[in-house]
Amino acid sequence: MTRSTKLEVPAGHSLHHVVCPHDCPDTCSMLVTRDDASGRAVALRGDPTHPITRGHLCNKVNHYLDFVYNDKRVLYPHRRVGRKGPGARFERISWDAALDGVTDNFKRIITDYGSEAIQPFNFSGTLGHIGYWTLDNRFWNKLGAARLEMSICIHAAFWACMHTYGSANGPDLAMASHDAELIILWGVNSVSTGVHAMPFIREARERGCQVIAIDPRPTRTTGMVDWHVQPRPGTDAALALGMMKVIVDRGLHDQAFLEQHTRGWQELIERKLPDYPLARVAQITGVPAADIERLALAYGSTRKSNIRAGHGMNRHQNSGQMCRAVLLLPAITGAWREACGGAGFGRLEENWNPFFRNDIQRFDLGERDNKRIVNMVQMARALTDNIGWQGELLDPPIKCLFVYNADPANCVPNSGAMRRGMLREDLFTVVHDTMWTDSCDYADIVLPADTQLERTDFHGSYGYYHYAMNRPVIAPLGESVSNAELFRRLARRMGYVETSDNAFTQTDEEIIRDVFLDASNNPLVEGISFEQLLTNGWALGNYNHPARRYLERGWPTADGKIQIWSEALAAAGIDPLPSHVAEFEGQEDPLRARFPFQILSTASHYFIGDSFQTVERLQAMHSRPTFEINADEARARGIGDGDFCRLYNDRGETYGYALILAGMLPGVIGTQKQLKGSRTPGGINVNALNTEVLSDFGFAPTFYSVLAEIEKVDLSRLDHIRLSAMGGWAGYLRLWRANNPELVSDDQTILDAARAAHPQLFV
Amino acid sequence: MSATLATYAVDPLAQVAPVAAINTRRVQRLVARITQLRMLNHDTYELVLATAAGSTTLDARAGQFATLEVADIGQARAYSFARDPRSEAPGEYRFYIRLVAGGAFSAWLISEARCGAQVTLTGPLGAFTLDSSSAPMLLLAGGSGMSAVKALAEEACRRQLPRDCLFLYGAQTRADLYAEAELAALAARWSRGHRFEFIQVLSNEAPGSPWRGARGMVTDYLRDHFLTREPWRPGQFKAWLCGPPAMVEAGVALLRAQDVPAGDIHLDVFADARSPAPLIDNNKCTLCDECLLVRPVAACIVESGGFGDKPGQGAANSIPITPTLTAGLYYNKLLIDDSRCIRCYACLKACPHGAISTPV
Repeated sequence: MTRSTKLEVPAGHSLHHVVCPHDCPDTCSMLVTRDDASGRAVALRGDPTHPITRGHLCNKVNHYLDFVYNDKRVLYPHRRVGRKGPGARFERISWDAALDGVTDNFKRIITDYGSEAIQPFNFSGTLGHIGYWTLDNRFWNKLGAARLEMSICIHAAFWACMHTYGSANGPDLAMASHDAELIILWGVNSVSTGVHAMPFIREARERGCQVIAIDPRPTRTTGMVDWHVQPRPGTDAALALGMMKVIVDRGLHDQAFLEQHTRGWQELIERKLPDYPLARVAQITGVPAADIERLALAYGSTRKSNIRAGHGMNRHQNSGQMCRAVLLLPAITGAWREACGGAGFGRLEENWNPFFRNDIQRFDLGERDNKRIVNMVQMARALTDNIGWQGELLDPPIKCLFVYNADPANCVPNSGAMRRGMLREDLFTVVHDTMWTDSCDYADIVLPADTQLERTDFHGSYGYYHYAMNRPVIAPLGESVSNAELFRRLARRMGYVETSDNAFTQTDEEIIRDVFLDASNNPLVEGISFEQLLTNGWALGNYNHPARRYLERGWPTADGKIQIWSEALAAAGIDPLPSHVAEFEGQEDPLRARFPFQILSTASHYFIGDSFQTVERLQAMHSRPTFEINADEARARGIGDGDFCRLYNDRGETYGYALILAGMLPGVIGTQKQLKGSRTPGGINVNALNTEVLSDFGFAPTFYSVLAEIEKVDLSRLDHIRLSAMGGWAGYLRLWRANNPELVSDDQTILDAARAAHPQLFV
Repeated sequence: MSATLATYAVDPLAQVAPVAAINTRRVQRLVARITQLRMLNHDTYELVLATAAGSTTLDARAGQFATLEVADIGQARAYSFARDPRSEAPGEYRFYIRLVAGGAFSAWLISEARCGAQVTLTGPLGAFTLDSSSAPMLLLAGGSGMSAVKALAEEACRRQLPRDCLFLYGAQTRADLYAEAELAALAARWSRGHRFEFIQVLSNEAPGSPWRGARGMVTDYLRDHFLTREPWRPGQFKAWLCGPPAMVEAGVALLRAQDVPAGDIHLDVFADARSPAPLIDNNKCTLCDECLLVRPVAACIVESGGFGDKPGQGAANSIPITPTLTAGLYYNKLLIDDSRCIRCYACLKACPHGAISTPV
């Protein structure tokens, strides 16, 4: 246990370092107080010594103990009895029976179909590097499972960075905030998705730094800056190129920087920028020409400019190009010359790539490199139609879906099809989760996962430069186990241990000490010791390591230069220069004649993906799905504030409540991503409307490239809709029996009671 | 049969509204009973509270305070712990209550026998605590500010901190003095090799009285007798001031005039309902809940779904957040209910976003 001496605690209590494991750039250090007699965690707070956390937490993690001690937790292994789908019933089984159930099916499927028919599905339920991708990949590599393209989050931006800079590491906003004269928050709602940036931004403003937010939606963040620029969604490339043209036309560009550090600047200036005069950019983006000019001049007037870009821009069909155009702005002005200058989506590459190596993942245990790869954002068609990402037939079909760190019934696009696929009777599904998620309804076996208070892990941060180690504070609740322990158990059952040298016997501590802290592949951990992490919980990475001084040593690209012209993109048949390409199902798609609204399903303030949707306070504060819409378009449809509404297109529908919001652009509706379908009136969230189309490059999802129409629905229909979502009266009876396992009653008696309680449903 | 089902069964169509309650707070709430009430001088009482055996203890540090609530009075009142909480017997808490004209709590306390009465204790609150340096400590108190400052000295003594300490207590006359025996005991147990000096300074003692001690304003006394000498040079010592606003203001003005860095001066100003309540600027608030976690009373900070049609942004004009109908997710607003706020300013210190301030 890591015991902190930072604060005094009362007698009988001890204080422990814990790292927030959730999907957020901040990666906070927390101090948890444990009552030693009961072994129960009783309080937590932000670590006051941590340079980003600075003693405070966000509105989610402030209620973390409600997440740990939660009646929706899976505490024991379970086996489904009866049919799959909402209302599925489970019975508790032993770990031995559960492991036999899983491995017997593995062996059967490998014999009958081959190991490729086993498909892991996992993402960011924890960002600890052990739980995220260490023991699990060792196991899958040994087994030879199908690979998963883990592209659901920030892949388009990541590949835009890689194709441009050969790395994907923006400057740390907290450090930059001390010195920057201009901060642009580009498509990022930091108040809700990384709140620890906000005090740094406020301090920068108080010191005179100008802060501009570029976002198609009004958010709580856009209300806290000097200026909110509101382009139409999917037009950011045009905006960035328009800014470049103004900057170059006015001679505010850094010619010496372009010549010395970039490749393709002549082509950009001569062949691309002439396509982006103010009038055209204004027409594409909807931003007045004078504002574009003012924005460009603000950006062009200082090199001490920091662009913190967010995930929103990366969820469009034309994301790759948009991200590249924005990323190139500091190359035009030479902002990279300043320590605080530059642009980035966080430290994407450094937080992951150094850990994609053999001594962590153990590629050498098998030949998984030859196995097929399925893109997680196209899992719906892979399961329902056996189609792979290049249109190829998946043969054999997926016969086992092994889910951990994720809730695919809610998180993938085209979720209606995904749920149909998960209903397949010939599909063997395992879910390892901390909570009873909607995906559990489709599982054959559900396994209990722990929380961050119960395990060991190692964390980097994709926003800032620090590393942290998590140690358990309390004993695992029930029979829950960490991801690492689960895959060790599976490896023992499969007989892999003896033939895999230390892959499954290495302890979590050994992996951290010997592998993660090995600086040979990651200069940022140079100088960080296991003991330091044990004592302090966290350590600052060696961000000033010579290998990272790109300005002096060149960028990590083939020619050491910033790739304004990308040979890799040219080879893939994509415009090698940054370019505005109107997106599929975006503002310029003729389909808007039928479906006039582009739906931006952004992060809720109250949840982090699926996580925290079981915390009652956060459910209560979030309350219900909302459709943010401007007053004129609502009025034209007879929709008033708070009205019950249906959002729909040809692929699906979802229900929620109108929120008439001043400042919403015409043709845009905002709603919340990844809500738990079972808590929405129609049983399924906005992903039912989304496509499995991938972004222009980066294999990323296009959650924001979706067109839909909205209509008012009489509130009296609500219970009909909910009944229909649970599968009519047959589904009602199933759920009734799942809800009331101790009561015995025949169908007619239950339905008679329902008639008395809900007479309107029987009219 | 269907009546039985309707009563006992969980109906899949029933919607149970989630509760927005906060379960893990930074402050604790304990139920205690009054075990002792003792006069210390003509207007100050020592109140001793005890929790039931086996109940949890308040995780407080010397210099912090708690709020006391009794059923008969709607409003909670804030009082500093009068002893270093870790030097107390387990489950016992001691406060100095000064009789104040019009003071509801003090009037309640002495209006009839109160031993055994139930009091809800909420805390710990405040950041008026010892620093981690070993610089000499200057303690300056007046009135019942004795409590917090004496507690700081007790903590330093319990931990045998290698620090010199000068404690100046300002009062009007000899009749105002108390706690002298406890301070004498502290002096005897102070860390070896370091000085502890306790000086009472009377501002209004009759000229002919037998008082042989210091006279005058306590701040003048500090200036004339100490601030010109070692080790009381700016930057070399830390100061803690607690007492009536006029005394604290004069003390701060004096120290600042001597170039004592602001960061070396710790304050605990008496506040009551006449002081302004803090204000929340919702244009800076990120709804992170940090302030809600330190609320000393249930609804001093109100979570609202915005403001209604009436003028003003007070609690009376706020739209409540109902569990099934929020007015708009993160467009929600927080506000301080002036009538419930006890002026503890804990929220102001808790806010990481600079959204809470006192009105100028």
